[in-house]
Amino acid sequence: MDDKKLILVVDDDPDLVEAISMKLESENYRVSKAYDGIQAWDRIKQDRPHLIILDVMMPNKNGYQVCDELKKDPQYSNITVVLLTAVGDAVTSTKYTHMDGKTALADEFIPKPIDLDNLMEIVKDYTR
Amino acid sequence: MGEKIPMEGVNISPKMARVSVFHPGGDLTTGFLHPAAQDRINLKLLITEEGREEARVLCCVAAADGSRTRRLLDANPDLTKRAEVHEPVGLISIFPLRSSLKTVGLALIALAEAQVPVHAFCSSLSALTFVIDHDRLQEALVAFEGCFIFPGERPAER
Repeated sequence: MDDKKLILVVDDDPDLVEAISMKLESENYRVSKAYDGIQAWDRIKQDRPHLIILDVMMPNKNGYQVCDELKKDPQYSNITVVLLTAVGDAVTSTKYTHMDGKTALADEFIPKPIDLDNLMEIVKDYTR
Repeated sequence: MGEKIPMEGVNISPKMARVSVFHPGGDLTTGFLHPAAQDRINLKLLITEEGREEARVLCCVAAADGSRTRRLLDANPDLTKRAEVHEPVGLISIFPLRSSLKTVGLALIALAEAQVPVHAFCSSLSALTFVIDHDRLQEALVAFEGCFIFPGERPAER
């Protein structure tokens, strides 16, 4: 049995998924990847991750929708969700607001562009 | 045609403007990239080449930022004659590349056989991205589907 914790990384930017995955693997985590909200649900059901790093702006189903569905489902609500938020201050083209983030049920929020060291600290805190 | 290579995904972009700037003896970081950042023009893709005697930049910006980028270039006499803004273009990215030259070769052959002109291409941490005319994106996607397997439904522009 592999006792490495499994982290699901969900973002429609494959380079960001790869960068986060490389960092996680270097810290001895296992990594699962998805590139939109629908793929994320497939991975959640199949892999049952310990923690999900979830982007907000994604095609098909956005991160807020995935997070809300997950947190309202008793089968999966105990999975930690770290939302990667990109709101108006940093990304001028986004339609999302700070208020969307405040009403989401995520366990943590990290603004984009992300600080990988900060993200790793949060992941470690929740997977101890 | 050999066996198709499984990929994790393909992304296609909305309409973009391709910006090419050539500056002999110049510094495009100060002359173009810094002003673009100050003007909050988001560069979706950036390819740079800077030597002792010349500098070149190729980047893609949202189509809505094309005229703003043109004005920024026009404001610099050193750049305006050596700059070209071409639109609309689009980006098609397949991933993960995993440093596979076979993937690069198959993608280039697929685009060549479909007679889709490639303006530029580059690899990044995970993706292999091609800059092509926006109205050829669907043809490029069909061409890639002939040699790669992508999961899920066909991607929408994003």
